[in-house]
Amino acid sequence: MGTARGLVFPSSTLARTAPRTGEHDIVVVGAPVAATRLASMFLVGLPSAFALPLVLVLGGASGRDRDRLVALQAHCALPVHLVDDKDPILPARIHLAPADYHLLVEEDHFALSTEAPLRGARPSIDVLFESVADAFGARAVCILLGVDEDATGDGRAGAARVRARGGLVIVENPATAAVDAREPTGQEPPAATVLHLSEIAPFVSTLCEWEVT
Amino acid sequence: MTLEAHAPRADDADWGVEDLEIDLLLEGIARRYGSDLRGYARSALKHRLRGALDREGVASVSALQAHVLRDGPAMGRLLAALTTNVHGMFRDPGFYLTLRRRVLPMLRTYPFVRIWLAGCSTGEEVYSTAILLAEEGLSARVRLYATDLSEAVLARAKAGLYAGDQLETWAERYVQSGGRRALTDYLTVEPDGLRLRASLRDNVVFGQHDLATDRSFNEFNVILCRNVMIHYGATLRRRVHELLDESLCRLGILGLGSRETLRGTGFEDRYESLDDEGRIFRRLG
Repeated sequence: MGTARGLVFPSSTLARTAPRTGEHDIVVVGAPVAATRLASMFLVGLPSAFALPLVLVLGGASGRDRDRLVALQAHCALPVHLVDDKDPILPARIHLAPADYHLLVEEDHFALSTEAPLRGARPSIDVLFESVADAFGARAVCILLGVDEDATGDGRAGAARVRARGGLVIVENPATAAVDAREPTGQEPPAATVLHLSEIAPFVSTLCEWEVT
Repeated sequence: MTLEAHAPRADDADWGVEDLEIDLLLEGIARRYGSDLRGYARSALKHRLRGALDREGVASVSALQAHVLRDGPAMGRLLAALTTNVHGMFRDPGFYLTLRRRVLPMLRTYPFVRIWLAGCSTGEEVYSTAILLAEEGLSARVRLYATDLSEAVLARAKAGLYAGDQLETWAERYVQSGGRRALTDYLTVEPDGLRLRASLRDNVVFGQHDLATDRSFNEFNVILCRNVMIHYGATLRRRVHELLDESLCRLGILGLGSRETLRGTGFEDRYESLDDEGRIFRRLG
């Protein structure tokens, strides 16, 4: 099962935080592009000392990446970087998926793909989450925002895969609390955690702080 | 909302087996058919393989392997599914605008120009480039070599027939790319889609070529290899950059996709960037 042994830590990060010994190596956030506002609100809550790599995909995003990047950076204490193909996955920054490519992760770097859009979306949240499940398994934290604002259900199948591989899945929106009520029998994957939008950033930050102390 | 409905099948549970199966499948394909996908980026390949399992109605990669090793047409379908990339016409209009303003004027000084579209997929980029050359009055002395590894994909490129649903986006991008007419001047509406005018193919040579296994076949003034090497792992990508470098004449132009760079290829110092975005390069020396 893949872990992020190959991750590179820039010296500026090392100076701020102790090496991590925690359970998670990556946080991946998916939101349909129609719910970009939710992603911004989530980013506002993240402290600048956040020490994990955070990947953000706005499902189905098209048009100008530059504008999106500037708008998100205005809400965020962490630096936001638009992903280039084969960029290393680095901690303490937001890696933003570029428009009109699928974004996937390998063990320690990103991969882009121009496979056809999936159910109309490129980038597809499902494609990213699926690759995160494969490469990071139980070491992944996966956050799905605005599921009710997207009729295609992009991200659900990928989140299920992350859960099946033992990763932590957080779903935004109180209306979807039913998600935990129907656990399959037999070997159960860890349940998805359903949180209100305002609770997610503090929750994730806490995970991170446990890991760095 | 339930996540459970999307949970992987129980037989997916043994994750390590899938990786082994994929290794064996790629090895089998390389030995049986000569198409070498072993150097591809594994994450994206895996996603495409899972889609192929569903389409071929088989339960595991092993079953798919048994199927395609004995069934040539099934292998053709699989190769197309694993390698087809969807780019649309005039993807990244800024790229074409720079080609028009900075690169084509340089080409005017040459008596004859060879352009290689390496990994042309279903051909939208071929027609976009052909339109550009026609509008800049260069068609007569340019030959476009459009290659792809899949015969099935190449056949679609030659046909030049596309679904009409993207026309609005393409037309908009065409204008942004500096287009001098209307995109609809270059196509006819047919019952099953939009067909690019056959005259655009007059100076195009289509050919099967696998960047992963085949050698250089000519020397080119311009090579466009956009959003092709993103599908390769780091090692294969480096090797293909070597192949492209060998195939490019002195001061030749190399065009990459909008989110591709030369970082990690070993060729960073061998090219200078010709645009702000850094996706069009000129070979030095």
